[in-house]
Amino acid sequence: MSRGARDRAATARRWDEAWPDALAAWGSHLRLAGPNLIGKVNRPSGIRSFAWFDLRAVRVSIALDLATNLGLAELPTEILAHEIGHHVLSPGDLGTAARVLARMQMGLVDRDDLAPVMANLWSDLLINDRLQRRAGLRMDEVWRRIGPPHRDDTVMRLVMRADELLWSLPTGSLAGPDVPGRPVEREAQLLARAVRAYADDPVGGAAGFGALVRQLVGDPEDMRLDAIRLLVCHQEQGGGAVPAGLATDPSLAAPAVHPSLDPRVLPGARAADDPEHAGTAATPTQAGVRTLDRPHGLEPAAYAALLGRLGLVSDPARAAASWYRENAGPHLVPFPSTLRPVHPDPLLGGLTDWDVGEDLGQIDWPGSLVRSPVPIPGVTLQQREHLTDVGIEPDREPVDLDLYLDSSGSIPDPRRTRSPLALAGAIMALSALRAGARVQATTWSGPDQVAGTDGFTENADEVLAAVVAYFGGSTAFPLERLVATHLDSTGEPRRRHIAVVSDSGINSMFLERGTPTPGAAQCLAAAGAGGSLILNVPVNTRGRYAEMAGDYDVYTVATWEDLVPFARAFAARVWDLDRTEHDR
Amino acid sequence: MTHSTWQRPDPASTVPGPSLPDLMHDLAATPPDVWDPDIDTLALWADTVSDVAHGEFDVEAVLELATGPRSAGLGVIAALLHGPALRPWTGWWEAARLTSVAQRMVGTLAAHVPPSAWVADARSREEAARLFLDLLGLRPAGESATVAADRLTAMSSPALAAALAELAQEQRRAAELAARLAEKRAREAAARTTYV
Repeated sequence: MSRGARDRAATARRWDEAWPDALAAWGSHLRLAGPNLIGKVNRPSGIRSFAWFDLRAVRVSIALDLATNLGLAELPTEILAHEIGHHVLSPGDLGTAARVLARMQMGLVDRDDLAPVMANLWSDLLINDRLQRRAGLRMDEVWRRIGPPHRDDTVMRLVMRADELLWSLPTGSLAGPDVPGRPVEREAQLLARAVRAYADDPVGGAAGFGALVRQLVGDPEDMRLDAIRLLVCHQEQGGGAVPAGLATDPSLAAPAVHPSLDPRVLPGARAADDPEHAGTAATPTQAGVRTLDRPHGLEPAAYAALLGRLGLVSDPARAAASWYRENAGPHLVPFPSTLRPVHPDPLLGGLTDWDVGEDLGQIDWPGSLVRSPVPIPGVTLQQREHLTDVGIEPDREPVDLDLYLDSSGSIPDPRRTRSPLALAGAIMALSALRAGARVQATTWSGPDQVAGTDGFTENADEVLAAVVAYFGGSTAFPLERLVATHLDSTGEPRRRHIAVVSDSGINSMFLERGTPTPGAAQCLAAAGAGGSLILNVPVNTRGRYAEMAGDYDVYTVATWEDLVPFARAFAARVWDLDRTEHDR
Repeated sequence: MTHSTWQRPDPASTVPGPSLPDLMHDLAATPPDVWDPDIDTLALWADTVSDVAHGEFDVEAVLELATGPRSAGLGVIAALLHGPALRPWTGWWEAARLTSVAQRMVGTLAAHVPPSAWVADARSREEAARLFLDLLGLRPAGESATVAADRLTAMSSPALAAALAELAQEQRRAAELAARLAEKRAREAAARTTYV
């Protein structure tokens, strides 16, 4: 074995031996799989950091060659304990990582390209302070070995100076000499206080740190992002399910409070929502949508950016579908159903042989073991037969939903801004799917601008993709598709409810060149389970549309606040329909 | 008379004193009697000066501190001067110097950090202990004069308050500007939306 190989083996052994001490820095009961110590040859491509943690595999990885090059080979406990901190303190799990990132985006405003690195840096600050202060580890020595930041790297100078203040170290011992004209003292004082104030709340302090950083960095060319990436550890989190609650959590979309205005950081500070400054935090009005008073979660575009940065969803349309699915959840309504004469009663049959190739779940184990304690397919293994008997109780069959969504230019793009109309459509569709119905969703704008599901489907992803699709063109309701679905179909389909989500463009459903056309009314009669028009129109014009719509029920949904009354009115209507049918 | 301005410590003006943890321990162990509103703080101060210093003190200069809302601060530093950490320095100071110390501690520091925090909050306790030592012409044992002055500067609440107020004001202006810009962008976006 060469001398180099012997040195590498000794280093790896030293790091392995340091693992119990690193775990003990976070408590005596912590258990975690041992570190993944990686050499130069098997280091994953694209990772330039010497250490990283994987939130999905819950595993710490160390690139020993890079750590050695940085002079950190003699500090294994500090480095390993730091990486463990990412699993224990900040972020801990993918949901918290997403929340920290969302708040960081909010604080960085237009420099949200820095959000992933800054989120990691914020976590590093909290972890290092905890380890230095409570566990007695030499985190300052780690920074000393790495060396002072570049004089142009204002963010790292800020972090280093804050650590000097937190750990009572002489000025310049970590941050290096002050740079004339670019002082960070005030900000570092604030950051040091913020680190202590939010020591156990990484999400709460992330936006403030982002706001502090935003004040110090200008355009991208002012900041050496590459230099920061080399110094901070890396967070590996790609793939996995989207954490629940990100789209609806109002705290994630709350305005960022700069630490100098944060009473948690400076007890005497006046909060940003101080009545004296209330005007500065007002939400700007959006095109075509009134300002919403109730606190709300992230906008669909910000949500999509967040999921993209987390490596969970790269397609904005899929992210928007996920956003509307989550926001529709609390508003789901009962959906119409229709009575079927009788419901067949299940009846247990006898036992028959179960053989290889049949569904494993069908094996009746008690029956098989009674026959023989030795399970042999085709000989001793048994399955239960199920028969049906003519029942006497009537059954309920869900009504299918034929949904039409206006995506003309007068409707805001639901993938970018929160659209109450698209949410109303999502509520209808998901309520129908929940009831076991099938849904046909059609997105329409001008002539030849029609997209949607391929007929009726039970696939929620396909339906939501149609809900968030957007053309932004002219307005021409696809009457021919409505007619083809309800008047030209053969066979005996299930009863269907027709729902149209639109605005004043609904005229094109009932009028052709200014002349009333009977197509929509004929389709309603053929569908057999009623129709709903969900319109973004002023409430006082509802009567006019109701008159034009004939037997269609008309609901107005112009703002987020209208969704609950809409859901309530729709549920009451379904209740009435069901009672009428029952009486019949 | 109170001193409302903060002065940067002079590293050359201090000599080694007690250890910082010992002095902070004495602060944390301040007798609860000092918070009693009925206590005669002026009499307590007079007794303290006669116990640990030499010379006469200016009653008029201390009267305001002893009767104001932050008079408990005078009780806290009287307790400190009697504490075990500073006992080796008993008789080391002039009464006039202690009056000046009281004015700076109660007049300046207490305006930013209430005396109750000197005892209860770890960070404030360190700040109070460091400032107190510096005003007495001492520095924490084991620290060089430069390091002690640097730490005191870094921790000084009065010094920081002015800088942070300025920062907060800048931030408010930036937030107002951002809100105006966002509103303008929203108006422009509304104008661009097509109604067809």
